[in-house]
Amino acid sequence: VVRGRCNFGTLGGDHLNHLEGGRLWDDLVRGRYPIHPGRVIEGAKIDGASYWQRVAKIILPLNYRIILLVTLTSVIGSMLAFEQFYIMTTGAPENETITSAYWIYTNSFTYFKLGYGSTLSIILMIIIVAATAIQIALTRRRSME
Amino acid sequence: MSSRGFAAGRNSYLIAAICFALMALMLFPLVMSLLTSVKPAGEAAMWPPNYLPSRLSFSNYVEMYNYQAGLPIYLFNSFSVACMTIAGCVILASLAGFGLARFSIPYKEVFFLLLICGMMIPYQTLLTPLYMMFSSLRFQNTRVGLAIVHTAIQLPFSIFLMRHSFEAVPRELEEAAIIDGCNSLQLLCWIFVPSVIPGIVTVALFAFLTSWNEFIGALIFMNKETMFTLPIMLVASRTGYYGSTDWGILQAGVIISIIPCIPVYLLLQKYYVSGLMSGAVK
Repeated sequence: VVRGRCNFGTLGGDHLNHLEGGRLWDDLVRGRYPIHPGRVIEGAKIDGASYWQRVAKIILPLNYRIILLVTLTSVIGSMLAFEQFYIMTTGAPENETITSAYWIYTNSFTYFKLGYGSTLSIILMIIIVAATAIQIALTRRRSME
Repeated sequence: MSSRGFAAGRNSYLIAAICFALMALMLFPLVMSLLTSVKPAGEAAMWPPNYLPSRLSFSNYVEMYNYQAGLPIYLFNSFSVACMTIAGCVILASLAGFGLARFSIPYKEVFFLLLICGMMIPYQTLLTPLYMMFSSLRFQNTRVGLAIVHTAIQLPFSIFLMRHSFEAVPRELEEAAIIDGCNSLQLLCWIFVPSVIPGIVTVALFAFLTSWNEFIGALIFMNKETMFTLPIMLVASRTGYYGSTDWGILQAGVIISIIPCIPVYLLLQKYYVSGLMSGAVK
């Protein structure tokens, strides 16, 4: 009985892997690759692949999802950047260095147009959620190949 | 650079040189602010700037200590908000993670996905609605209010982590405790929590760092001088009394606000790494 329950428990650990977002997190958090890269790289070496061939044909494709995840987080992070601009430029010269988050802040808390600010917030949120969804979908398709 | 077969000979020197260049690039601002903070009063604004202080002086720190409401109040604000955030995250995430990891709940994965969705939606976009909600609840300028915001920001990640940690606990432990007559709360307190200490430390560490460094939320919710947290106080001190910036004071403030983060991070790093990896054991 114990053994049966134990197996069930180990299966339970995989639940999260069924969610694609979870899979991305898994790769990042656990530092694990879909395929053990050492063997593949060794195989390529035996087949006579040069260093740059290995990078282009094996290492980059294997890390595709991690690269996508990092791009995604950094793009979203820079879309939402606020502190750097608030502290260093305050939007000068003539609002040329404001970000969307900063524009929302200015409207809501400097001009006190709370309704307009909320609308901008929702629009930005939709854009970012859409970007995330697109990136996750892209990742899923490639990883199934 | 003694790794076998990785990089031999000239290559290893090249890699070492690149690493040193990167390190210098990263450390330069920190070292500069440390050096500026120990310059005598007024020297920080000197032109052309001198890199090394002419003599060691702590006048900037003294002035920072007495800035406006006094540094202790700002430190207290930051620390109390951070502690409340830690408490909120650890308690809520342990309970949620325990429930999601070890109970059969209908539509469990849907609930989990909904909770995790919080990581997808950036909180910066929700600040205006949050502000309106909090002002009608009279939660502005209260430490509890800010702590609630910080907890909400940090909670999805914490739940994710705690669920993974709890799932790694062996079933046998749980069964033995049930046979000995534990109810589920006792099970959580005596069996599960002690065996996922690394996970809890990781959650607490991330909650602390988030709350300590968080800027835009604190800027919006705290607009009374006595309620500022450290980052907001730093920006306020940048403006100065007559619109000119006293860089010496500002750098002293920067150093003071860095100080708690470094030992916390270094001391808990061991737990933090094993906490992140604990989900990997199957």
